[in-house]
Amino acid sequence: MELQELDPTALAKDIIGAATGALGKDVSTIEGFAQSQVAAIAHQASLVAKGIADGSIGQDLREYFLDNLKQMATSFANTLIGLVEVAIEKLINAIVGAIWDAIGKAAGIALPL
Amino acid sequence: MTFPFSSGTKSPRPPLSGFARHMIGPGLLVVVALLAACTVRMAPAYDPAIANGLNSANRTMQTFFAGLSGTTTKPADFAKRQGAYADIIGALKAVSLQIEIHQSLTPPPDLKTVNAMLGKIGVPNLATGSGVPGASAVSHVVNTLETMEKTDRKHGLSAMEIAAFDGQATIYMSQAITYETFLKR
Repeated sequence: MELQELDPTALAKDIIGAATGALGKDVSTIEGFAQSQVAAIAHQASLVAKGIADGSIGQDLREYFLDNLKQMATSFANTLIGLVEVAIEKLINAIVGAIWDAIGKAAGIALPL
Repeated sequence: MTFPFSSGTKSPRPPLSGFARHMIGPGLLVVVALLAACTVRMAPAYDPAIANGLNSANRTMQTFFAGLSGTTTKPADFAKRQGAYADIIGALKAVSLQIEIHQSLTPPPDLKTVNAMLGKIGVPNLATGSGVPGASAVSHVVNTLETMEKTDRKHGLSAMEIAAFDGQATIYMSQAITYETFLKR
């Protein structure tokens, strides 16, 4: 392997490139999911409110649907946190990969990820 | 190789040559020692069987709701729908079991280590979710279908109630599918 002196400026660029690449698609996916969920939960809230107001949702289901509006908001937040965790994992690994690659080239060894 | 968040083991790494030590200096050697190589894992591994199972159960569920959309049901004809309820709930419970087994084989990540690292450089801690999102969302879908079945059997469903069950189940299902698909990385 040809040894290359580690250039901090080039490494910084590589890290930014790796981070941007890792985050770019994920941010769009997470944003799209969040928008569609917020719209769906708002629609569900409106449906339940209408059903309760006009009596088309029976007495025995009213509390159930209302309780689930809270549950689905919590579940949405929980899912969002899960997605962000995956995105952060990919980000950390992309950054470590870029650093690792640069050090490997400078040290003349292949560092395992 | 994976880092403490998983049970991965470190493989032997060739020692640096004297030339390399001289060239990269002690600072980088410290970085090498600190990073100690490794990818981190903060979420479960992707399992195509779980993602496929969820998509398949979702197709069955959406077909069922599409057939009921805009209609009302009566207990007298519940038997016509009983099989569909059983198919959907059974498929979802099977996926739920798959997720449980998958999680037991790949334990939940430990965010404490990541948060300790982030804290040292002044980055606020990441919040930890309550449970793994996929499993939790699937259990909500199962509960929705079971409640719908119970109510349908007892006194039938209005068109609005069907629409509300549909909306609720679809929101939870969307959360589960999105999360399980996002694990593919």
